[in-house]
Amino acid sequence: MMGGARLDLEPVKEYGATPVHQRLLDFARALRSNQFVIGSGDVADAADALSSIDLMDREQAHWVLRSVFCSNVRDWARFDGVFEAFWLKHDAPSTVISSKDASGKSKVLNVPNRPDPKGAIANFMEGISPAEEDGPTMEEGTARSEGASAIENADTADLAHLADREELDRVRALAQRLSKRIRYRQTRRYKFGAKGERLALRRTLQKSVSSGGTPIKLYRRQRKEKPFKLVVLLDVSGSMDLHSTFFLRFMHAILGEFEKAEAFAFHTRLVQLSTVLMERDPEKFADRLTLLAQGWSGGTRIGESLAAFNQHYAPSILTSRTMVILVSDGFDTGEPEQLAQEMAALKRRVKRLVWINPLIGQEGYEPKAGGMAAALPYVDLFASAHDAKGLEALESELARM
Amino acid sequence: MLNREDVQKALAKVGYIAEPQLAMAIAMMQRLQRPLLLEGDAGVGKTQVALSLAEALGRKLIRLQCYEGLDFSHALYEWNYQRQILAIKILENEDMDAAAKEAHVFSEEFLLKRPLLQAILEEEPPVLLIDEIDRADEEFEAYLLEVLSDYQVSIPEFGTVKARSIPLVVLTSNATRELSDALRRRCLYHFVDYPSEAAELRILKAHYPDIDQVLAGQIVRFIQALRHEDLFKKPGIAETLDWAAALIGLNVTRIEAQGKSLHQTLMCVLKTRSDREAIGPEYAQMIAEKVA
Repeated sequence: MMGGARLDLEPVKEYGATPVHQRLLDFARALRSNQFVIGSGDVADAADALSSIDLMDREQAHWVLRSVFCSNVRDWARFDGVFEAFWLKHDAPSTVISSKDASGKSKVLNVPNRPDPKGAIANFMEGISPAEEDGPTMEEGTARSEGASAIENADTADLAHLADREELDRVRALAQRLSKRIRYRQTRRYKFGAKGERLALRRTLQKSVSSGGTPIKLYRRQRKEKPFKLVVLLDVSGSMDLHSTFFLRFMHAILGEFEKAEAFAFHTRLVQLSTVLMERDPEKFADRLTLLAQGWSGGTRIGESLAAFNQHYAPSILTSRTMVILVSDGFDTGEPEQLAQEMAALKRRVKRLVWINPLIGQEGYEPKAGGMAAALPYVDLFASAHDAKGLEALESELARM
Repeated sequence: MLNREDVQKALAKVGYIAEPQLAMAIAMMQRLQRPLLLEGDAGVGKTQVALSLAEALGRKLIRLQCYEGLDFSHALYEWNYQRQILAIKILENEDMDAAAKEAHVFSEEFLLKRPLLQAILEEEPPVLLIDEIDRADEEFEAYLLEVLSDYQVSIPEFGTVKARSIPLVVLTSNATRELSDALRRRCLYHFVDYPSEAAELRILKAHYPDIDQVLAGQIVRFIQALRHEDLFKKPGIAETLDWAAALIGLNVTRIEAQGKSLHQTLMCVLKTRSDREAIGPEYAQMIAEKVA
């Protein structure tokens, strides 16, 4: 097994692996716990690639592994640190690496998404994340202790006044108008059929092959339309108390009117609200929300919450036909650098990024330069609104693509 | 099978100075038969990697430039309908059974091979450059992934076309759009950074072997200093070479001795109005004196 034969390696075969194989598997695991996405094929390829070079040449091995295991700029930037920690300090266990991960994100906790009257809501607030694909490390212990300390306000917020009829109607009407105006966006692809301005000559010819070249049916072409998606991220921290309930109503209306929409709330962590908000009856919805409201009105970590969004939800939710509306006052206890970095990542994935700040224009409000200033370069529209009237004034701005 | 040094030497022979890490990635791409995804700022020579690789290995280069709305009839294959119809008309009066006529009309003769299909049908593995993949839309990534993972294309009327050889695939991206994780995972990854001072000097000398040694050093240090400024569009390698050509053409031997005219030649380097304003004549002179 120890000979110089071609390394034949599959991750399932952990027993009987040579020391090099075993170290490589451990290394892949260390990378996974640092949010690298690594498939089983990658490990086998890495082994194959290593067998073609001189293993004693650390630099070459470093380059080879980096090319195989990295898949984007973020991986690229983090790889060297993990590599050095793993291969150069032989006694350092891989968990040390994962805990000193610079981003300091909360660890993934695998919570099954089934109804569980007692546990579900508590889990929800502990920071639900989709299960990691094939990550073998589920650090439940760390996650649990972290969750407990991060809930900064265990009081239940009073959300009963959510079911205010008049304002609800106005917001719903606004959401309806918005969805009509931006529901579809033309794509560059063509749809062929009986309708359309131009005759599609190639298609007509193509289809006439079956009738021996006589173009019996004429095809026309028009631009295909695709549903536009709206994602709302709402800050529900203490400083937003006065406004968050109004924006919850707005989110509820958006989810009801848009064909494709998602809603999230964040304070010190991120919570997906879409499923709860899909409840069509406003009173029932308020009930369900109150249950979720523990821990609201605490501090804010916008950067971290966005990082969680970018990591767990963005790949499956965001497309180039998506608008993201972020509602927050910009009071952030996290690092501005992280916020800027995550805003940049978010902006790369979406068509339009809107930041609504309800506190602008109010007396005594001074946006702390750090967080807000760091985020602004990535925002397409920065506006102020805190009630139905304010949002209505923004209607045409929001609808503009 | 080439190793890292061979790749580096072969590329240097055709004028591409590759960092050893990049040469290693190219060697691994050949060994593992996986595509190589190159990311980095515009102007760091991502596309040139593929062009030079094809030249260095003496392989054919097949290039697919991506754009939004690119679909499989432009990337993979399309039937030549006009010729098919002509053929049908000609065959109408021939004594031939229907199946044979159909087989004739849907034969390879009538198949228009677009870049992806063409690449896998070459006998000698070509270099396939899929340029600016981030400009294509998500739908296209799906086709591409299918071709790149199985190296085969199924054409309903014709059957499955298997690759005659596995091409060397180089994808480039400027990260204007996030690529799908599936595509990223399929590829090896290399981030192409701006070259180091020494590497850029070698690139410059490879293109202009007769350049004055001192001037070459000044040009490179000046450009390197500019890249540290807060510019909208940082100068790439092409800008360095353009500027060097301009200075050589003007018989300049020392950039700090140019005074005002130095700033005028910077049109080769600073390409937006705001960047030109950020680096005014005095500031340019200051940098020039510092790097002299």
